[in-house]
Amino acid sequence: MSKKQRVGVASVGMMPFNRVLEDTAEEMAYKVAKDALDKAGLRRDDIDAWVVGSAVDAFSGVNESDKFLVAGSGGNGKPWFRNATSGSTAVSTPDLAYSMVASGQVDVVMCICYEKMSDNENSQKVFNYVYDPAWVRPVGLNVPLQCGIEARAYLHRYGIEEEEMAMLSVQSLGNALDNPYAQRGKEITVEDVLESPYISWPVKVLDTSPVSDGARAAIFISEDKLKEIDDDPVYVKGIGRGADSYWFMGRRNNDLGRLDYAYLGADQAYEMAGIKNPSTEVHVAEVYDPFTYKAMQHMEAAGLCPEGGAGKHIREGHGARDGKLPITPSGGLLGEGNPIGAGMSRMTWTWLQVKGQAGDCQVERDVDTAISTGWGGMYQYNATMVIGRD
Amino acid sequence: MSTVKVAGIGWAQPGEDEQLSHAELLYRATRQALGDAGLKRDAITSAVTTSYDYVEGRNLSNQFTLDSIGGTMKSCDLRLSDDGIHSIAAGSMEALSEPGGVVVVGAVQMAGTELVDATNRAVEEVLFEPLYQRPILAGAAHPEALVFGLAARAYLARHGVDEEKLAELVAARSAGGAEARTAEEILDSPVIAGPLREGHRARRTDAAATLILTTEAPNGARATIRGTGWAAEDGQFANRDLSEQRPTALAAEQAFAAAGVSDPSAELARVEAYNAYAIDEAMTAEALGLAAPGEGFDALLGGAQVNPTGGVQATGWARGAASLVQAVRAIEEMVDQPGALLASQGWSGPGASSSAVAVFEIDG
Repeated sequence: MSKKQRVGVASVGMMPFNRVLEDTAEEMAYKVAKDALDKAGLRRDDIDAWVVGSAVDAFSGVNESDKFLVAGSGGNGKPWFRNATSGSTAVSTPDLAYSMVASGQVDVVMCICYEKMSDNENSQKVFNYVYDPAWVRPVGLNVPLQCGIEARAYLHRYGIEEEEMAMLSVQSLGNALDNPYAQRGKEITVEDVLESPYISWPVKVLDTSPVSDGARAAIFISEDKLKEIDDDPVYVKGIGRGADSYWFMGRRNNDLGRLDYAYLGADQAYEMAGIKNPSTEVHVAEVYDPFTYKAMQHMEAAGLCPEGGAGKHIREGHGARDGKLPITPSGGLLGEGNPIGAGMSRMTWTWLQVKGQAGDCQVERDVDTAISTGWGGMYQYNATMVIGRD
Repeated sequence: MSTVKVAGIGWAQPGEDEQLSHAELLYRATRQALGDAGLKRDAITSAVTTSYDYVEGRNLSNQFTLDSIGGTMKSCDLRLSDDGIHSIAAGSMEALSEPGGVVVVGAVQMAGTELVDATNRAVEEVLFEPLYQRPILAGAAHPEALVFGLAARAYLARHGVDEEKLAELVAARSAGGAEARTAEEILDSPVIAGPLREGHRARRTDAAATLILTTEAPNGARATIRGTGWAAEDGQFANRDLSEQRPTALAAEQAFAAAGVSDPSAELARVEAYNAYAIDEAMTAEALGLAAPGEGFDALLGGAQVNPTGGVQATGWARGAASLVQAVRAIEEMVDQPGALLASQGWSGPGASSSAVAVFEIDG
């Protein structure tokens, strides 16, 4: 029926993120799809299938909202899927695109991840409807409140100070100053972060990524096709996805401070990529960072630093663009903006880094291997993608 | 070269007066499927489920599926906002990309609860984008039916088919099921979107279905997936020719090419087609190449190849899960037909703007 084949990434499509964009979701999808096609030297007819990702329909107020992106994305009359796993859409959708090509069923897939959050006046109200209607929703839980619970568990478990969270924010917002697509590039100090208002202790406003509109695209392609158009091919080396129970009060390790499911996803990806020591074999990482402490948890789960050592990694400058293992040199969600489903931006920036096309965000060291992560669901999904050249 | 096997199947509906949650219903279907495959939870490596947030009344509506299908601490997160048959296509590719893995494909829908009746209109309305389409549908009591009503009108006018055929087909399809109704009863029922009447629309119900897909099935398999296809058109229904189901035709073209089916009428032993509004079944029959354009109703009324047990008109319509239930039940019923080919189709999107087709070969 089909054969397994190696998968590469032909190009990525970018556009600026912002709090409120005039573009409709369809127009955003058009922009990034066209950008990716142009960069790869491909045409719409070269694409075999489309897979799109967005977090939840309620942001747009349209059920099956992806169906209105079909024409703008160039997918009219073509194979079309929509994946939606909240924030982890950032990597689970590219993972699906990878599987489509790896299976041999198709050779070229346009992967588009998007979110237009400004269509909705109250994103936290939307998030309240993520929770179980019988037990949790009535409590009024939302993302900041749950993040506060999780952040407290993380800081307590590893004896981490809020100052270390703040340092990560300073780095990311500073990095975003060089990112032409970012909405919140800013020079700030640790004191600025520590003095910003709490939204849910210990998480403060400047520990939090801004609500945003935006989209990203990436073209996943079979090795044979990629070699026809690119003499410096970048391949998907490893993918992994971990998932834990919906019931956050009943996680396997009974500790919200350590994300076992994120470790699982990273382990799978590294095993597939043949990476034994990620802290030395990974050259740059774009970790999913909707909150500063989440970035730290994800750095540790991905083995980029010792468990509980993310703050030290940033404090000692190892995560800077000229550091030994740069972390989100694009500015991440914290600096670039966080249109939830478009978190695939992390993966697109790893491609730009490997290709040496990251502009002023390019890290100093040579980059052959890069990882991106995604996180979502009911704080239950995590995914890791390793890309690089041979 | 690998093929994907259906190692196990399961489906479930609540018993009479039984109060079950989504999670419990999907758990039942999955337990059946794992048992059928002779596998334990530990064997599961991945999952693809389908669900619609607005229909479910919660965002990220697939999250609980993880616990129900035994997917905790596994790669069981993928969720499509499409019909169940789409998940067979995605699940097959997931299995092929990681040979030896065990992929759970499942869907559940609790569409028959009393709450849904109160909110159903609003849920149907938000299926349409707000700028151009929703204002047109603002006065419609049944927004989704309105598009299928337009489709029925376009089809009947284009081909000169009498609207009584719609009632005849629904009467025939529903005859063997719990939702039986005669053509007279259908034609006496209120118009919901002319020419469609309340009786033409399948009754909503609760159901769940699960298939276990794998490239290796040492305990034997129910079926082999010979081909899958899926396609979508613009969700703006004004930009589409509603008198035909082009997404289904495109999906079938892919699936049949992969399966080596060149003469669907002769080679497919059975076809399970979505028939929530009756007109969709006739159009699907034509899109699958089982009837010439305009001859769908006559072919369906004169033959037994399509929906021999009545489809969702007989069993009830659990949106999103129904096509998987139909596929699972057909595989179950065809157990004595090794080598026979089954095609299953399902649609999603406003006015069936998206469609998927899977071709199974029943294993001996």
